[in-house]
Amino acid sequence: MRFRAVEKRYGERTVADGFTLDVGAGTVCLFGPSGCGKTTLLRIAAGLERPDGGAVEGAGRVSMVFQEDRLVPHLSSLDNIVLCGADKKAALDMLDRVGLAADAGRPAGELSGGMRRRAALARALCRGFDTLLLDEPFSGVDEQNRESLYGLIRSAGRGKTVLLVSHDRRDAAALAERIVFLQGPPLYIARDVPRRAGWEDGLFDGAGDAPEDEG
Amino acid sequence: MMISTPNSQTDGEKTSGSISAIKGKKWGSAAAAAGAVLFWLAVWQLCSLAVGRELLVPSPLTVALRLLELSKDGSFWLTCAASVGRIVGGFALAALLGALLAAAGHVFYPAAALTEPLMTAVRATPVASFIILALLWLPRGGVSVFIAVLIVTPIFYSNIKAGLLSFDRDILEMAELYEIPFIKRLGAIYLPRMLPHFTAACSNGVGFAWKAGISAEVLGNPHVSIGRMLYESKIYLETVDLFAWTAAVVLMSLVIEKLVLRLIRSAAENSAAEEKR
Repeated sequence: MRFRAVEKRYGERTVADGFTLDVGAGTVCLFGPSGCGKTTLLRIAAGLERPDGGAVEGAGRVSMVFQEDRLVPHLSSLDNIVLCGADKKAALDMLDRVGLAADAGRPAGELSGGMRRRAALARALCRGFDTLLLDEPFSGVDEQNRESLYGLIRSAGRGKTVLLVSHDRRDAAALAERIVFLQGPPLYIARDVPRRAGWEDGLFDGAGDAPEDEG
Repeated sequence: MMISTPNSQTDGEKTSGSISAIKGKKWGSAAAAAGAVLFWLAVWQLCSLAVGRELLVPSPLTVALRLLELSKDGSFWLTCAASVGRIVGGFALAALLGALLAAAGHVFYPAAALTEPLMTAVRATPVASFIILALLWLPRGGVSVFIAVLIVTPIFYSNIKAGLLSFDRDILEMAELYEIPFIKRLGAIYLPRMLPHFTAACSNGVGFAWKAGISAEVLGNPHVSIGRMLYESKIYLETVDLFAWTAAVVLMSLVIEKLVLRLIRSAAENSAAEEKR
């Protein structure tokens, strides 16, 4: 997937002015201060926003966890997933894997913030995708569940493109093969480093052990 | 021996307890409504006694007996059926027209810009002006249908417009991304959001349709109609008949409102069950 010279303006405010980024298979974490334009990039990649210039190429079929849960509140988490095209068995299986099997029938509006987040992730993972966009997918998720979600995303995202926006270094440490530090607006890449370099730079201090060398 | 305390209730006891609480609440509100009706009937009776002339204010009992007497005649039911047909027809057309205009305005701004002043004008114009004009344009039987459409359409228009504006854009965007087919969106996203607005429009609209439709019948005087019976009661100073026909209108309006609301509720339940399947 490639952001090619993407331009995006909202009135007088320029969010992106010729932004280019190549993302291959694997997980790339976008790091950056709030308001720099990370979510806008994901929305453009998802086709929810049209860039004023440039293009996103090769995104294929996209699935996404939005910054908000965006679950239909009167439907159960199971029905929310089925509504988005998954079959019931696959949806139940995925809800089980995110730890929501017991609450599959409860209206989404009655679930806690962390549970809704997990349901939103289950919905995104149930959709067949080439590119998975994750906008702060773990906010409000407790430690124990977070670990199992990491494993789930790793296995679902194998061989696919996963673009993760997070403010939490643990998420980047656990999932990303590459970390892109963004600044802006207008957006520009301040640093683009492999995960290993994150540890060497002290970026992941307190985020556990450094990864084994994979090469 | 098992000692039952409030804290040691089984699930079954709790469920039957809550069901009986709901039933008790239902009975309580029904009793309150019946009490209110009895109160106003008593006020009516007192007024009738105070005035002392049945020609001016007949007593509730006299009116009830007259209504009973009228209902024994087949022509009463024919007259009611004719008026119900016109007014319910007008109401249904207004629901359709109001929904179409609101939907058109929602997706295409110029349509809203054109419709909005029209709805404001219709709301503000006296019903009598429309009836007099309609008498010039339409056959007598069509006037009450036309007037019901005219008066009820703005009610549906504004309620459905409010319903459309209440849609959560985030959810619609999610539906777009996940390519949820329109028919599924309709059942799971649009209709549940629209339902309270549509129900409110129906509840208000039925009453207005009767008010305006019967007024049109009084002035238009179609051959078989409640309006004609009210008009004749006035001409021949048959106040008891006037009250009896009015009571019939109120009762029919109530019954139709309840029927429409029940219809909507069961359609919503069916749609939810269909969604689950």
